[in-house]
Amino acid sequence: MFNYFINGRKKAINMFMIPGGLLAIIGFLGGFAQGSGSPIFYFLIFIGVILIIIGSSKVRNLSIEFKNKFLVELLNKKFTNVIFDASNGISRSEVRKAEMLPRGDRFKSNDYISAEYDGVNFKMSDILIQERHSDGKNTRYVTVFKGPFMEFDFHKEVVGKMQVREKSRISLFDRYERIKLEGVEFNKTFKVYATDSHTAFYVLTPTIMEKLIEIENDYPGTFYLSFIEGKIYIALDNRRDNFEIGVFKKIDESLINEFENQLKIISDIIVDLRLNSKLFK
Amino acid sequence: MWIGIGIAVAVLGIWYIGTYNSFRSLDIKIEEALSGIDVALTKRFDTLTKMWDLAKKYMKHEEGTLTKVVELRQKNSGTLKDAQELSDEMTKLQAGLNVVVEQYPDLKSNQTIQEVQQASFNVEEHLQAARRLYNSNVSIYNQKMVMFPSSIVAGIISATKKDFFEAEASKREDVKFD
Repeated sequence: MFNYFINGRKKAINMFMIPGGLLAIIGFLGGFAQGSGSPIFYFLIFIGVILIIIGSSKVRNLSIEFKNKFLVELLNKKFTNVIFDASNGISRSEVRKAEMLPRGDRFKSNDYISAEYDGVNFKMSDILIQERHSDGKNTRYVTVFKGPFMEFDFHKEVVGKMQVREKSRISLFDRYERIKLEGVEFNKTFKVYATDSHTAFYVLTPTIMEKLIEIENDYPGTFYLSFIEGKIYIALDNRRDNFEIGVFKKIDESLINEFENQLKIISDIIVDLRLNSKLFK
Repeated sequence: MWIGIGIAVAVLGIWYIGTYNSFRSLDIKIEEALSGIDVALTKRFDTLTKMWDLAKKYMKHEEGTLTKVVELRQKNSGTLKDAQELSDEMTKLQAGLNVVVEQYPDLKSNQTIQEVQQASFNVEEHLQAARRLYNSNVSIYNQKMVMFPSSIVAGIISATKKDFFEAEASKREDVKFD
């Protein structure tokens, strides 16, 4: 079942990535040893890089094929009305609508999932946001967010806007009022910003506060949450690109289990935050 | 030396004004939270009377509770004591209505009563949020009043301890659904 992917990836690594890497190293070391840098070494580095790019693209295509087969199967088992697109993701404008992540200069998203769980519609994507840092001579991109971004329907009637974020992070939401709730443990872990206090107290009931602490503990990474116009947006900066077969990962049942664990956050959020409650529909 | 004394007096003055203003601002927040409770109680009253209209033929024994709720609603002057009393009576009436709805299947299956019940759960959540917000502000105020050095300013302005909005034991938990 997995042989096609194992062999395909082995071929891409052996035929392109390893030779490409070797050529690039030889070119770099040769140029470095010679000092002045002969064109032949630049050529070797160039060919090496090209081979690595071809190899990576072959692995990426295999990854998409793998997801279209196994991930879609898994999604259909767990959720209903599934739409999956491995190459595209939630758009930049939609992410900005959540008002919770840094805007960044470079934005990428993939693995778009739209489905329904226990009557609740949701969307999920892997997001990468990078900021350009320049010292005048060199420009480099620094990752400011990498991980899943999720959007859920929230049927509770909320007029205002609210943001919840981990206390360790620098606040971006000075334009909203800082709200202190009565949960001591919650206040230690999170900062809450809202357009008005009532919205925060209405949405964040004692049970929801407790569950948010549990979710935060269960999923390593920096947690962002926002309630805007009947939607809950949740993002987890865990520096991971989910659902990828990568170059070194073992392709077998354990990879499917890993995908399943990466999807568990969806059902956990819907059940723990009681988004599936009859009251909110 | 005079410069030192001048700086000390200025610092003390700024601190006093800051602390005084924070007491005043908390006072306003408490007042606002109390009117939030009043708004939620009005909504709760509306949903309860709608529910009563739909279930009244089954509610012969609960008429006294409704009369009391209506009376309390009329004499409600927006104070904490009035709000608390009204809220407690409404809780009793709500409980009575819920029991009756459960007892009569034809009533329970009525689409309108289901919608009103749903709305009353929602209103109840708003009331709880307003109550928690009020108590949270009162708690901050009371702590500030007894903590040194803000207790000095509290003494000067004769600040008094505020009362909490006490909910019945059954209402201290989140609303249960499903």
